[in-house]
Amino acid sequence: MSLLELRSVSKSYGGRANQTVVLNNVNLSIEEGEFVAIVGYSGTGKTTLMSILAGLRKADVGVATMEGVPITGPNPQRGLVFQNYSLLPWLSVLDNVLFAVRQVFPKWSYAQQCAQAEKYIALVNLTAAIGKRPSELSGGMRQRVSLARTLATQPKVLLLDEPLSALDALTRRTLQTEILAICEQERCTVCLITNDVAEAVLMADRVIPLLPSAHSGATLGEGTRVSFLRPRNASEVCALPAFKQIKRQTIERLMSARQQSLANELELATV
Amino acid sequence: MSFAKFKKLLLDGILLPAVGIGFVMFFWCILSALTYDMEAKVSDFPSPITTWNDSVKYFVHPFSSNTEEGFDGIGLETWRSLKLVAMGYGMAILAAIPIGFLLGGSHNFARMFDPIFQVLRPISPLAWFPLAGLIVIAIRRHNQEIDATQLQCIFTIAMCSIWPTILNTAVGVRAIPQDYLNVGKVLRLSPWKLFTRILLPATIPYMFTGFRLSLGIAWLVIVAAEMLSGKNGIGAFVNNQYQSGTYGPMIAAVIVIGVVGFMLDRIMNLIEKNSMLLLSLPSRLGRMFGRLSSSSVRPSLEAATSRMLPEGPLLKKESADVAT
Repeated sequence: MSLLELRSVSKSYGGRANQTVVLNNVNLSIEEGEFVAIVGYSGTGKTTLMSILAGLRKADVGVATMEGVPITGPNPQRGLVFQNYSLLPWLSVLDNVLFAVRQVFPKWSYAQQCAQAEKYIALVNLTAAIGKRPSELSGGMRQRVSLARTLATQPKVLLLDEPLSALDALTRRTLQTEILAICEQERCTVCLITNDVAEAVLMADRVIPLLPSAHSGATLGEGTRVSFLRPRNASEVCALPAFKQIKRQTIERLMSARQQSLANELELATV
Repeated sequence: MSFAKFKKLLLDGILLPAVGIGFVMFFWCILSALTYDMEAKVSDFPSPITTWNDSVKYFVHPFSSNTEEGFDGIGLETWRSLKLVAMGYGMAILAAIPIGFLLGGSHNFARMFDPIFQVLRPISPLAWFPLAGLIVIAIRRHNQEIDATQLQCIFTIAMCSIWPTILNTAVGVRAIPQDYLNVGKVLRLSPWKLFTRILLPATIPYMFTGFRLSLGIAWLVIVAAEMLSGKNGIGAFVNNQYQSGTYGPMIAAVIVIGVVGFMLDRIMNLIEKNSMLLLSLPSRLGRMFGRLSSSSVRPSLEAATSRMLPEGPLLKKESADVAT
């Protein structure tokens, strides 16, 4: 039994008159300890897919299950890292992390909760900024706090919803390697959603394209296994011919699906 | 402090404002010169010096009531007004916070009451005053002890100053980012915790803006209300001096009204700016007491950073070490 599973999930928004199908017949299964990356164009329903996995939204058709149990709502066991960090601006770095820890482990002693929070803040290299407010931190640092907050609740699976897409390219690369290292150390099960194919291939064990289509909603394509050894070194991996090949293949599949979808749309428009 | 900084402070903080005050004084003098009555040998509009000479007796012992001479110091009158403002304003914001949360949080509530609020909001204090009088009459039928005019002033202040806090709170509630709510959902906060830990803190900056605007209105209204009621307070003072033709003290009182209003605004501004600090206070205090009560030995950072204990049991061992 896989840890996290979607079976023929569909989701659409809007009323009957102007219904937009976002996801159509999505099937996904994530094994324990696996790092899965889903890549796709922006606006093709990546965040909707993530909300269904997190339990923030319900699928219209099909089921989402975790360890075989249907997902009915959000749960800290599926730790979600948001694209916009979503830190609480009135709390310090420590208090942001501690807030989550105290909520998820209410029975621990206070010292234990603090130690947990401090441990994960140290893990993302933010011990020096522990007393600062989010407004005093850079974007990259904020996302690290967000990651620490989620990791500190010890989720069974980590859901990363475009965690790096608000960052500049250099910070993005630094954080990719850091998150990669942390996930390898912690042996997390991860589902990463991204629009950066190189990022997906660098980090994941399996890269799945989210293929857009004109009016029937996006669906997941066939995954490509990425079997580079771990721990991975970013610059070494990027130089591998296999890396380049998987990257090119994925991009081509995404692009052809996009062109197909655009062509269909045009056809429908002319008819 | 460096010399350049000192010079800047002197210029910005003292010299330039002094020049501004000088200008206003100059125009005040011109105004009084223009209104000079040749026959009576006085200005209709008293000059700054006349104003000072006529009103100095109210300022010498501002907080004493000179019963023998039959007048109260200006400080005492101001204090009476401030007490009424505090009561009316307090009532207003206590009522406004829950109403604001309902207005911002519930679509149905907003649909029900928003039009009414929009109609009530522009009603002048002068119009609220008689309406408040009706309620006071009803209350006085049950309790003769109550000071009717004071109560009337308080009601008027409350009705006029409630709106900015209601509307700003509602705006604040509507402006809470969906992300914060998602954090609350993922952590499965109880409704009470969601309110106290996320909704309330996220709204507080907006609420404080409302508080500041409300206090400004409350201070505007008290003067008008006291002029109508005509007994005590700085507003009544202005009116009485006007009626008895002693214009010097009247002008002085008007200036006092302005200065007090300015100071109230400054104080609220200071509180508003530090509302973020206030917000982090509970967690800071909590940490202080939490640490004191839980254990005198806290985990050192080295222990906390000792790397990557992947699973629960190891972590428990670590905290067991801490406890010993």
